[in-house]
Amino acid sequence: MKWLRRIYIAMVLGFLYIPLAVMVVYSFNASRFSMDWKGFSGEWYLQLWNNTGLLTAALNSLVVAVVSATLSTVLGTLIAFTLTRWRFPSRRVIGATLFVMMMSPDIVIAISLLVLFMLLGLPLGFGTLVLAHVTLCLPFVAIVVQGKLHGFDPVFIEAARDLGAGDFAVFRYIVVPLVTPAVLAGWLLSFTLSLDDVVISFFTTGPTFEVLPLRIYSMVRLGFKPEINALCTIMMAITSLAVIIAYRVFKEEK
Amino acid sequence: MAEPVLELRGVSKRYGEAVAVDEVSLTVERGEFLTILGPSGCGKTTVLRLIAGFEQPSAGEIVLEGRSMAGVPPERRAVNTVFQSYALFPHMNVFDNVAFGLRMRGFAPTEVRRRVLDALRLVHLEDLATRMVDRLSGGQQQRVAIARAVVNEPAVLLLDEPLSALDYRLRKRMQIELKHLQRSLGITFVLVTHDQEEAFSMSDRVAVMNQGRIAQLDTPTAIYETPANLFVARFVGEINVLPGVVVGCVEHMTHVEVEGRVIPLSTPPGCWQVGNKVHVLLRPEDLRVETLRDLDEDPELRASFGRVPALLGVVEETVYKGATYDVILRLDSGTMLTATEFFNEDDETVYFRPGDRVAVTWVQGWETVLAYAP
Ligand SMILES: Nc1ncnc2c1ncn2[C@@H]1O[C@H](COP(=O)(O)OP(=O)(O)O)[C@@H](O)[C@H]1O
Ligand SMILES: [Mg+2]
Repeated sequence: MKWLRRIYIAMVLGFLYIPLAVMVVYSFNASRFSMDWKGFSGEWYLQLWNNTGLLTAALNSLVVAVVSATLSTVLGTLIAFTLTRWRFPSRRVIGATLFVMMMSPDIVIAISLLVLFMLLGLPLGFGTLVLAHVTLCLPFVAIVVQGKLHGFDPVFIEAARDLGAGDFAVFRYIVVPLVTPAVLAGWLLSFTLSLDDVVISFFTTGPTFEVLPLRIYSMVRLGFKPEINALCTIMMAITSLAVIIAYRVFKEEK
Repeated sequence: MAEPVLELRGVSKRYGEAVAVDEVSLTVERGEFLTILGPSGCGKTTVLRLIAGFEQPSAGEIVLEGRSMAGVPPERRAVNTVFQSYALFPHMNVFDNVAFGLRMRGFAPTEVRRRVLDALRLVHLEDLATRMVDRLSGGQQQRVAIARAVVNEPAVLLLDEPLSALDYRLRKRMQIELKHLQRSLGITFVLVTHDQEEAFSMSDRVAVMNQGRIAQLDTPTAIYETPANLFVARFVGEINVLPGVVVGCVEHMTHVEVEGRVIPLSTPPGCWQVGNKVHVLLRPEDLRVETLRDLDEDPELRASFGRVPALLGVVEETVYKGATYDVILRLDSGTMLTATEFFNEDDETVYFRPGDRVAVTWVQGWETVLAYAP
């Protein structure tokens, strides 16, 4: 029974991690064309470093991810506060819309935004891309923060006031610390959503502003290059870091 | 006499049409343990929230240490609250929770530390100072909530059903600890509960509330033994209510006809007039029951059976209660009575059997007589 269980666990882990492990290993393979192991080499990382086109795309992606994550976090948090604090007629409609937007297929959002941008005559590029990514991320932030605010018992505010805290102290020592983890989680979620989005980016950016996933996509179409393994390994490292930070933040909250 | 620490003068609170608190007036002396007792929804929490300042009265005035609290926000009132849900700050550990009030009042860190540790020692939590509050048991959270409030040395400590979330044994222990804490600190406590046993075991005085009003405010003994009205009588324990009519008033003797018998009552003169309709109230443990068979066979027993003419009836059933048992009996008039009997020291069996013919009496003066209210 014991070894059966071990095999089972090994299979699950293998299923999840073998592809990633292969990618990481081959990013250090000296061979350019074959899948044979030709010895350890850091060459592809060097080549990556010299591939300015790829690096520019990576930098673009990071900038877009940071900007759109920040914008959607600010807007999403405001929406969440508004929806929980005040009761107004369209409250339910807006709440439902957030869910609809979150569940809509990317392609639908992409096409509808493209049509809108063309209608408005906006040139496709950085601006439209950020707008599109904010549209993508905002509902996620709003829903995560709203969940937190719903669970936020107003009795904490009363308890703080009972202990002598004025309005500012209540905000500073009670509301902010209790809501911050959700806001940070929203930001991290937006950051990763933006970073690895292909479909929406494909339709809403122009030839002047290339982002990483699209660049990789076009590179692979022209034939596979080992630099891509190196690049993906780096991205995986960044993602893992983000996950670890998010985990820490949540644990802190617990 | 010293000035009361807290005074409510005709305080009312309305939510739209609904009246949650209706002209409540009471004074609380310094160092007193006052309990507000009443069924769920009678306005107990609202009274506490008015005192704490979370709500403003619709009418009336609250005076704390001689100062009117009209318009004074909660953070500037010398009262602290132990919330029903404890409301411990989930993002802080035990120490920071307890220190919060002191820090808000600008105490120096060394002073904060000293006082917090003192308070934690008081509630036996000195070892858990760095624990996050969600890693505590219910009883421990309760203690943190108490420490967080008493560390500020409030003029009045408000406690909203502080023990209701604890299991029976822990609740009993915390009742004793709370009372002990209150005595040793000398802080005035205003506690809210729906549990009459809890109210009686801890309080100097109890205010029984019903539908937003104070039905009676007195010592536990007075409330139990001389309830001011039927609501109080029924709320603070099981009681038998017999309707009667006053048939004679001679000096300090009042005769009341109850269940077809004329019974002498020792009530003060001038209270009643012939023809008044009354309720005669009897606690089950004050009733004495004997079977007619025993009374027939034993002249001594019959002689000792009291001066009040006995009511006759039949045992319907008996209910085992542990240390005691209840005898449910039907009087010949059809009225049901409950009497509590103790077990004999050497005999742990229930003496009465369903169907037994019995006589019921009580010691004259142990009854309570109230004006008839339908
Ligand atoms: N904020 C409020 N708005 C409307 N009605 C309220 C509010 N707070 C309390 N009430 C009403 O006032 C009455 C007394 O409530 P409460 O003081 O909580 O009772 P208790 O604590 O004795 O159970 C209840 O009928 C309750 O519905
Ligand atoms: Mg209540």
